[in-house]
Amino acid sequence: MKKRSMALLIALLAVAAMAFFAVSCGGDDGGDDGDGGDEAKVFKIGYSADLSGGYSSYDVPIRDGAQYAIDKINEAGGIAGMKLEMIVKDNKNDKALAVQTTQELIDEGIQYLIGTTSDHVVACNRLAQDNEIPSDTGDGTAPNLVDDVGEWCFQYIMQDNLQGAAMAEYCYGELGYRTAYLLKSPDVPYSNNLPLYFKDVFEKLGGEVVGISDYKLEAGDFSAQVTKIANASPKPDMIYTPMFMPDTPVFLKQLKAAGVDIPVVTSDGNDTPDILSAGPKALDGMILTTFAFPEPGTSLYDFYQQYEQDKGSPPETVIVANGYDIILILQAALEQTGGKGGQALRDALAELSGVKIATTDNYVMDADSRRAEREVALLKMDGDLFTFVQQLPFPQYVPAPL
Amino acid sequence: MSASEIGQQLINVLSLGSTYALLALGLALVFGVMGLVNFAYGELVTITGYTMYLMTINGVPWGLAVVCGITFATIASLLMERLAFRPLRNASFLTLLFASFALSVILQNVFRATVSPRTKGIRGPGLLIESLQIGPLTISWMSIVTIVVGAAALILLTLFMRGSLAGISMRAAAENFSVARLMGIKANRVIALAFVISGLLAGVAGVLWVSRSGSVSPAMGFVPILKAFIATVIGGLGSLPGAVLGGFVLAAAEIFFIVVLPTSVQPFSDPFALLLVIAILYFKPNGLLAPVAERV
Amino acid sequence: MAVFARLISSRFMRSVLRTAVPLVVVLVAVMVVGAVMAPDGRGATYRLLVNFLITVVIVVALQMFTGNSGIVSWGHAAFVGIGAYSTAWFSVPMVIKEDIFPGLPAWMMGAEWGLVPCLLVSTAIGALAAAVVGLAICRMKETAMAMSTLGLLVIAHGIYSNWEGWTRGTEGVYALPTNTTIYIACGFACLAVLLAVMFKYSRVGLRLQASREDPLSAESTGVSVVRARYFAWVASAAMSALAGSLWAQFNLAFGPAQFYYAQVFAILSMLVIGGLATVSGALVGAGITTVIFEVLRGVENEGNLFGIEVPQISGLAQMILALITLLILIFRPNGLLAWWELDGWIVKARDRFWKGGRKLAPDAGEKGGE
Repeated sequence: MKKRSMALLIALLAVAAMAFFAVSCGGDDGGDDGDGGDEAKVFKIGYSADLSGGYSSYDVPIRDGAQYAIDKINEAGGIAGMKLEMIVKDNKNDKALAVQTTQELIDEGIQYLIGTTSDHVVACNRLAQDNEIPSDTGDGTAPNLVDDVGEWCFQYIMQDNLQGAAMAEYCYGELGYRTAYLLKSPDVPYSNNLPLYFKDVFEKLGGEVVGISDYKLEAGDFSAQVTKIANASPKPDMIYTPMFMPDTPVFLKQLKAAGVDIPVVTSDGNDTPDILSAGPKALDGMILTTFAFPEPGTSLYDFYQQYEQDKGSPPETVIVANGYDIILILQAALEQTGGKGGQALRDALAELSGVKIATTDNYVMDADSRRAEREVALLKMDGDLFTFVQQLPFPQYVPAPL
Repeated sequence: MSASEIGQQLINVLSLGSTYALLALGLALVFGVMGLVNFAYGELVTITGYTMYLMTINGVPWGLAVVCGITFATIASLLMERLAFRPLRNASFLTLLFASFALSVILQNVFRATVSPRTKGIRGPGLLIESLQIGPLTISWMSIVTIVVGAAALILLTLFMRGSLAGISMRAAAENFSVARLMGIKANRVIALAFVISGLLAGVAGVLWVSRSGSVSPAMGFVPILKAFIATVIGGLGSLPGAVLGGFVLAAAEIFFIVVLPTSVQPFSDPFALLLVIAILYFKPNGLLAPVAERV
Repeated sequence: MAVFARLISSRFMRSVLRTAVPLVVVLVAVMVVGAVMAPDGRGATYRLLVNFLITVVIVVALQMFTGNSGIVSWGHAAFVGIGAYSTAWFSVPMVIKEDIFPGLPAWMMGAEWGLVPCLLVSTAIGALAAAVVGLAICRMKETAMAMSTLGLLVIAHGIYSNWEGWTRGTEGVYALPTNTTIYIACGFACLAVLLAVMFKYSRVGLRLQASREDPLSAESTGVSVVRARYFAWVASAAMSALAGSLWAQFNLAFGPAQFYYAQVFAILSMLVIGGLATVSGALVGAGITTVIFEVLRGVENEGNLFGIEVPQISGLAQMILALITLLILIFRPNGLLAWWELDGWIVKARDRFWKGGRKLAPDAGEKGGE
C-alpha cells in the first residue's frame, strides 16, 4: 500500500506542477506576443489604467489619446530609431490590482509609466520610481501627487490649487460673488482639497463661505445636502463643488428639482460628455475650469481637426488631448536624450520647456516642483453645450499644495 | 433649523422611505414564503435600470420604457425562481442565501460584459426636475411622484393581500408554510406568485431609483438590496407591515443623521445602521414588531 | 493538561497525519515549482503561486469555522483586513506613515517592524477583535448569526473606508515592505492546513461537527454549542488576520475594497466548490478557482486565451466562477470532495483501479460525530 500511495502522490504532484506550468506559460505568451522582433529598438510605455471602474471616464480617453500619438510617431519613423509601444493593463480602480499590474509592467521591461487618474497613482508611481522609471500623474490634477511620489514623478497638466485660485478670483472679481457654499467629499484629495484652495483664495479676497457640506462619492442621493443649501442663510451667491462623474448629473437634477437657482461653479472633472445626462435645464449656466478648449486659432483646435480627419469623429473630451500630450512631452525628452531612458530621461523631463503640444503652444516644466506651469480655461454650459468663456489670467496668489 | 426646512426634510423622509418600503416589501415577501433572503433582488432593480437605459437611448418614449422596465424585472424574478431557486427548494437557509449571492454576481457581470462596466446616464422626463411651491415649501415633482407611487403600490398590495384568494393564501404561506400546504395551498403557485409580486415591487422601486439617480451601473443593485435588507431586519424578517415600517424608520434615521451629525461622523451612518441590525438580531431576532400579529 | 494529553492520543495523531501529509505534499510541490521557475522571486508566475499559498491560508481559516460549524461566515474578510491594516500600522516607514496615518499614537508611528513581529501583532489584534465580536455573534441562532456576519462585513468596510487617521479611508495604504517569500507563504500554508486538520479531529472540532448536523441533539448530549462555536470563531479569525498580514507584506498596497464582497464571494466559492466539510476541499477549491481566474484574466485584459485571440469581456472571471458555484450548489451541494479528505479519495481511486471497487466508509469524525 505504501508504494502505491507514494506513486499516486507523485502523480498528483506532477499533475499539479504541470497545471501551473501550463497556466504560467499561457500567461507569459499573452505578455510577450506583442513585442514583435528586436527588443532593443522598442521603447515600452506602461499604463496601469482604470478601464472599467469609476475613473474610466478619465483613463480611457488618456489611453486613446496616448495610443493615437504613439501610432502617429511610429508611422513617422519613431524616435531616434526606436518604435514606441504602450502596454495597458486594467486595474479596475482597485489598489492591490493597480500595484500588481504595475509590477507586471515593470517585469515586462517598461521604461516609462503613465499614471492612473485615481489615488492609486501614488503607490504605482512609487514602485516605478524604485525601479528608476520616470512617470506622470496622467489626468490627476491634485498638486500633492508629485510630492507624495518623489523625484521621478511629474505633473504635466493644470493643478488644483491653480484652478481653485483662478476660479475664486474670477468669481469674486468678474462675477461679483461675495458668499459661497462649498460641497466637498473627503473621499479623495481632488474633491477634498480643491474646495479648500478655492476657500483660501476667496476668503483672502474678502468673500465669505456661508456653509460647507460633505458628500460621499457615488452616494446616489444628495437630497439632504440640497435641502441644506436651499435653506442656507444668508443665501449664497454661488455653490462651489469639485463633484465629478457619476455624481454631478444626480446632484444637478436634485438641485434643480428643489427649485434652487444658485449658480453652480465646478472644475475639470465635469469636462466630459458623460455629464450631459443631467439634461439641458439642469446644466444651463454652470461654469467650470478646465485644461483648454478647442477655439479656432488654438493648437487644440488643430488637434481636434487632425483627430477628426484621422479617426472620423472629433475627440469626445479634451482629456484625449491630455493623453496625446503625455506622449508628445515624452517624445521631446527622448529626442534630447537620444532615446536613452532612466536617469537621463528623468532629467530631460524635468528641464523641458518651450514645447508645442496640443493643449498649449508653450509647455514649461518647473524643475523644482516637478509641476508644469499651465493656464486655466473657463467654460460655461449653454443648455447642454460646452461654450468657451475666456482663458483665465494666472492667479495673483496660488495656495501651497495641501 | 427653520420650520420650512423641517418640512422639506420630512418630505425627503417620506420620499426616500416609500422607495425603501417598496424594496423591503419585495424582499420580505419572498422570505415569508420561501425562507430565502434573496440577494439577487437588487439585480432586479439593475434589470429595470438597464432596460430603461437601452430603450431610451434607442428613442423609445419614457413611459413605454418604464412599463417595459417593470415587466422585465417581473419576468426576471420569475425566471430566477424557476432556474435557480426551485432546484434548491429544500436546501438550507445558508445554501439559499449563498445561491442568491452567486446569482447576483452572475447578473452584475452579465451587465458588465454586455453593456459596459462604466456608469451610464439616463435622461428622464423634464417634469421630474421641476418643483412645486406650496407656501414656504418647495417640493420637487420627483418627491411627489415617489410618494404617490409608493402609496399607491402599498394600497394596491394591501387590497390584493386582503381581498383576493391568492393574496390570502400567500399571507397564510408566509405565516406557516407547511400548515398552509396542508390546507391545500399549492407550494409552487404561491412561491411563483411571491416572486412575481417581488419582481413587480423591485421594478417599481427600480424606476423610482433610476429616475432619482439618473444613471445605471452594473453594481447599482447593491445599495437597494442593502437598504432593503436593513429595513426588513428592523421590521422583522418576513413581516410585511414590518418591512414597510422598517423602510420608513431607515429613511428617517438616514436623513436625521445627515441633518444632525457633524459631517465628519456622517460616513459612519451605514456601519451604524448595521450595528443596529446586529443588535436587533441579537435581542429581538424576530424584529421590532415581533409580538404583533402579521397583517398588511 | 489531561485533556490535551488525551487529544494527542495516537489514533488522533494518525488521523491528522493521514489527512495532512498529502495536502502538505501538494503545497510543497507548488513551492518547489515557484522556487525553480523564479529563483529571483520576480515575475507573474511567482506572484501567482505566492498569492495562491496565501489564499490557501485564508480559505483554510474559513473552513475551520464554516466547515465544522456549518455556519457560513461572510465576515472573515473583515479579519483579513484587520491583519493587513495592523501590519501597515507597524511596518510602513515612519516618513510615509506620518503622511498617511496621522492619527497613530507616537509609539506606533515609530514602529518599523519586520515580518515576525508584524505577523504576531496582527494575529493578536485579529483574535482580540474576534473575541469581542464573537461574544454577541456566537450566541445567536444559525440564521441570525450568518446575517450578522454579513452586517459585520459592511461595518468593517465602513470603518476601513472612513477612519481617516488610521486607515486613510478609500484611498488605501501603500509602501508596505515585501517580507513574504514563497518559502514563508508555503510554511504558513502548511501550518494552517495542519492546524485545521488537528482542529477537525479534536474534541472541540467533533463537537462542532455534531452541532452542524443537529444543534439540538448536540446540545442535549451536553455539548456547549456556543462555546465550541466561539472557540472556532476566534481561532479561525486569528488565522485570517495572520493571512491578511502575510498578504499585505507581499502585495505592497491595498484599500478597503480588498476586503469586501468580491473577495468574500471568491473565498466562499472556493469553499463551496471544493466542499465545506473538508480541509482538502478548501485546498482543491482554492486551486481550481485560482486557475480559472488566471486563465480568464487574460481574456478580460488582453482578449487572450492560451495565446488565442478572443473578444475582450470584462467581468468574465467572476461570472464564470459564480456560475460554477451555483451549479455546484444545485447538483453537488456538498462540493467536489464532499465528505472525504484527499487521503480518502486517494484510497478510493486506488481501490477502484487496482482492486475493483471495495466500498470505503467515511472516516470517523467526518459526517458528524464520533
